[in-house]
Amino acid sequence: MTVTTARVLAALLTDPGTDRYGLELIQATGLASGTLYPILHRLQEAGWLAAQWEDVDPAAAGRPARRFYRLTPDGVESARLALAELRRQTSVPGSQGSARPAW
Amino acid sequence: MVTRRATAALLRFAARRWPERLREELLREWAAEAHVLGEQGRRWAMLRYAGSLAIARPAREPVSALQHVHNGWRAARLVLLGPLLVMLMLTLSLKAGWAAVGALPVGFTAVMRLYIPATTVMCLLAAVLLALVGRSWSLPGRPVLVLAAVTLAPLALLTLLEARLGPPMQLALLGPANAVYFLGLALLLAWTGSRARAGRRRTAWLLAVLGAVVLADVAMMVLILRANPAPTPALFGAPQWWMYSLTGRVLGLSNWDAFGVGSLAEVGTWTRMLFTGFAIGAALGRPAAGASGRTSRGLPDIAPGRP
Repeated sequence: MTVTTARVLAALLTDPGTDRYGLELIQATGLASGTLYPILHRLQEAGWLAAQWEDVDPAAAGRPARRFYRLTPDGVESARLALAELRRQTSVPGSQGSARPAW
Repeated sequence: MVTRRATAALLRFAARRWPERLREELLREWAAEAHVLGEQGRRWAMLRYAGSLAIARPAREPVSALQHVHNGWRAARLVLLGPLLVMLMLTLSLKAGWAAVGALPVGFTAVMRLYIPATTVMCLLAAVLLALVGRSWSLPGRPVLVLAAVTLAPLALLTLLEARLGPPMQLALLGPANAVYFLGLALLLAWTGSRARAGRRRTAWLLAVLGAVVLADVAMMVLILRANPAPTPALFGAPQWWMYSLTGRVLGLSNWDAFGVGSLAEVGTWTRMLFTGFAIGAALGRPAAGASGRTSRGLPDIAPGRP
């Protein structure tokens, strides 16, 4: 798993029950759109992420419907395990007091 | 307004780089997000959002080794086999034209008069057949490769043949005419191809055929004027030169001009006709799977205040 993917997963895991739009994820992760969407696509292909169109009437809302993303139950579980594993692999042996991540 | 248009163009470009089955939804999604940025007055952020998508490496569908071989074969078929098939069909058409006229119970003079129109009919039939072949060999979703394959590959092949097999000066005479024709055809098919992908297939075919006729006429003028036969053919008859080379009818040209045009045109007109049939079929032939006018031309509106 790449650092950028981990960053996206971490952002999604901060509140796994919330729907996130692409722009929100860009702001949360600091990634460029060209980096974010391929990651979202791969996560969807892996079944970790589900995408849904916003249920809104474009004429009434004055804007097109947006697509939002949410981790699937399997995705939540897998993402937590993957990030924990990444953290374990990147931790410096003997170091103490590192901040507990949001997930 | 400029930033919105630039954003829309960048998003269309970005979407075309993604797998076909995803393009429409991605374009809708990106346009909706760009709309939000535009509504907030964040024009540069909107442009940056689209620009990043346009230059980033998109996600790719996993492709098996077998699929790679299949894709390679389809590209090679279009680039390498296509021009060879056209040359084979040209040879057969010339023979068929001669055989058809030779079978008629007419004298030698009549045979010579009928040979050109008969061969033109055979070449037209071959061009239609090649258009069908081109259509089935087309590579939907890869318009640039198709364009190069059906215009640059024939130009390269004809240049090579004229340089290696033709008499001295053949390349200097025919090269510019072929270059004008095939490069013009590339531009014409790029334009009509975008119309075809937008769903205006019938109009695209019609415009491509009409445009090819104009290009063929221009290429013939380039050939004759470059050859500069003595005496120089009357320029007011230039638009008829191409038609004369297809029909053998003088159509108001002086006999001397007709002789000069006929001796220079040789089989070049028919060659270009057959390559054009194949090119139009391949470039405009089949829509990409799952493609629609919306994906390639239209875009959900990103202008603020409009749904």
